Amino acid sequence: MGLLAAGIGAGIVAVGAGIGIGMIGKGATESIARQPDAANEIRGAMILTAAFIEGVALFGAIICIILALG
Amino acid sequence: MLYLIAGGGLLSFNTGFAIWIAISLIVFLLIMTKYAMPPIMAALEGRETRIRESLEAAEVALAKAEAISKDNDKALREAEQTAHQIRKEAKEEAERIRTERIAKAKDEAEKIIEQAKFDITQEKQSALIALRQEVARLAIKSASLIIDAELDEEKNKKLVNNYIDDLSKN
Amino acid sequence: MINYFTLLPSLIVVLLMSQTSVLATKTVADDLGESESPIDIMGTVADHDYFTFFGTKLYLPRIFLWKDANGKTQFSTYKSTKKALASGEFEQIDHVIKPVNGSILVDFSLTSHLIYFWFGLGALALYIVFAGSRYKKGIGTSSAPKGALQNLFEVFFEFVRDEIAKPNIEGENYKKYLPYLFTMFMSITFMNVFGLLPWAATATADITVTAILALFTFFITQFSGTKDHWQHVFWYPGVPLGVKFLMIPVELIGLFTKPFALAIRLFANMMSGKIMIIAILGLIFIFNDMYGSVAAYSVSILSVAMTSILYVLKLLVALLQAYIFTLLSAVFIGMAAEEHEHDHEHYDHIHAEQSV
Repeated sequence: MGLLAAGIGAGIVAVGAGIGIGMIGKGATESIARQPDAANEIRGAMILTAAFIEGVALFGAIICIILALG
Repeated sequence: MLYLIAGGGLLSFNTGFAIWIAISLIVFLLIMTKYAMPPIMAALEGRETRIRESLEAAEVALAKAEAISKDNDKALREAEQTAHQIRKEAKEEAERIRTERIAKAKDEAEKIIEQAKFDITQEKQSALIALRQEVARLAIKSASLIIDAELDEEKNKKLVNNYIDDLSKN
Repeated sequence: MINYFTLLPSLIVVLLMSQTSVLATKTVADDLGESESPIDIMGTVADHDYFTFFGTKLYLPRIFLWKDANGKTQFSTYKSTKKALASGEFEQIDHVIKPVNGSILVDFSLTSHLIYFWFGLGALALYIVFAGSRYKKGIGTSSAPKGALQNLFEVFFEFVRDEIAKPNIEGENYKKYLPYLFTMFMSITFMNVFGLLPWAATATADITVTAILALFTFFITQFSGTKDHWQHVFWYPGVPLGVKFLMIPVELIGLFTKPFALAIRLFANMMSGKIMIIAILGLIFIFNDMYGSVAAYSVSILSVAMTSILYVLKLLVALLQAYIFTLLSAVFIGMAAEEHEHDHEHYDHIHAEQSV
């Protein structure tokens, strides 16, 4: 059961993080296309935001690992 | 699980290990902040300020050089202008002198020609008078030779003169 | 440049070959043991009491602070786990070492992760000493920097200074935190890159290491916190009185989740990369066990290709995670050290207007 829960949880985490990071990437590329001069700043903000989302996703992944191992 | 090899699992916090890490990190950070990094930071910063300063100095020097060259240009242009002026004046002077000379020469030539003409007419007049007198004298002489003393000299002269006048009129 | 590019694939091949050899020895070892799986995924990411140095296992000393049966605290050191077991005072149950009578208080044993942590710091120390001697000699200060190593050093240094420290920490304050940020960036980078070596352990794939690193950021953030920072925590400006009380626990939790997220992010990223590579390469051995050598050979083509791609990705991730850790540290420190009284007046002003 633990393994099943971990697998499902990891999947949901991946979906959520994927949607979030995808939206960030969409926004970033659109704004870079609109304003190529600000590309560097936008890229920095993008990495920062993606890192935050990734952090949340990794919390979930860690809990899944704990479930799987415990 | 069986992966608790060094006393800690994959996700467990290992106190002894953490103490090691913390101590080594503290020592390392102290050395870095106290001894290692400041000279490097200072060196790089010094280099940057020097480069910035030399760039600024170069800019100032460039501006100066530009100003100097501008001044030079201006002076050159002025000199050129004066030279041009001088040349123009000289040309005008020369032209003036030339026209003057020509006019003078023309005048002189005219004068000479006038004089010559005058002289010629004078000479012609005197020659004519002399010729007339000579002709009259010759005529009288020849007439007196022919007629001899029959006619008085005054009357004859008058006759001959009239005749010559008629001749010259014709 | 061309040389480097032609070098890269051959380097990857060498790395992969040694990786498979490491796995292969592990397979043999596990076949002898009670483990059913042909590969030992967790064993390669977990901490060990030895570290492999050019194919030879060097066992590390075990240092224990423990309580014996009489309740007396003892401090004992042994050259290796074997020596500790041979002394008769310790026994090993399921790979966990325990005193025969009594319990361990603190396990100060040196481990492979600690050794690679020291390797990371040591590599950075060597690099710093090298760069420092160059600058002392005047190369790089009065003349242009010479050589790839020094230029790379400047690239890293100026990256940390201009991309991480300067934009996030206001004013001249960044100079105070630059040594810390640079040390963090470089040591994490070194540890991550050392982790790419097949025989090496990744120190940053250990929650303890990343937790301590994040703890340092946490302490530096709190100690550099200005009055504004604490005001934001305990008396959030510009909100009604009830919300102020509501904000206290939120902000307090926020204080601790930030470094927690830092630690988990770095740890999970580094560990997941390692696990992925081992799992994909392990497919070869699993197929060998289940379907014979032909299947293993055919799978190996796919596995090796995937692993090569993953290696490039991991190199990128190694640098990116060091960057993110340092960047977020700088952001947190910058937020705490910021003095934005102007903003407060603004908030208060708006608040006053609204309440009127």
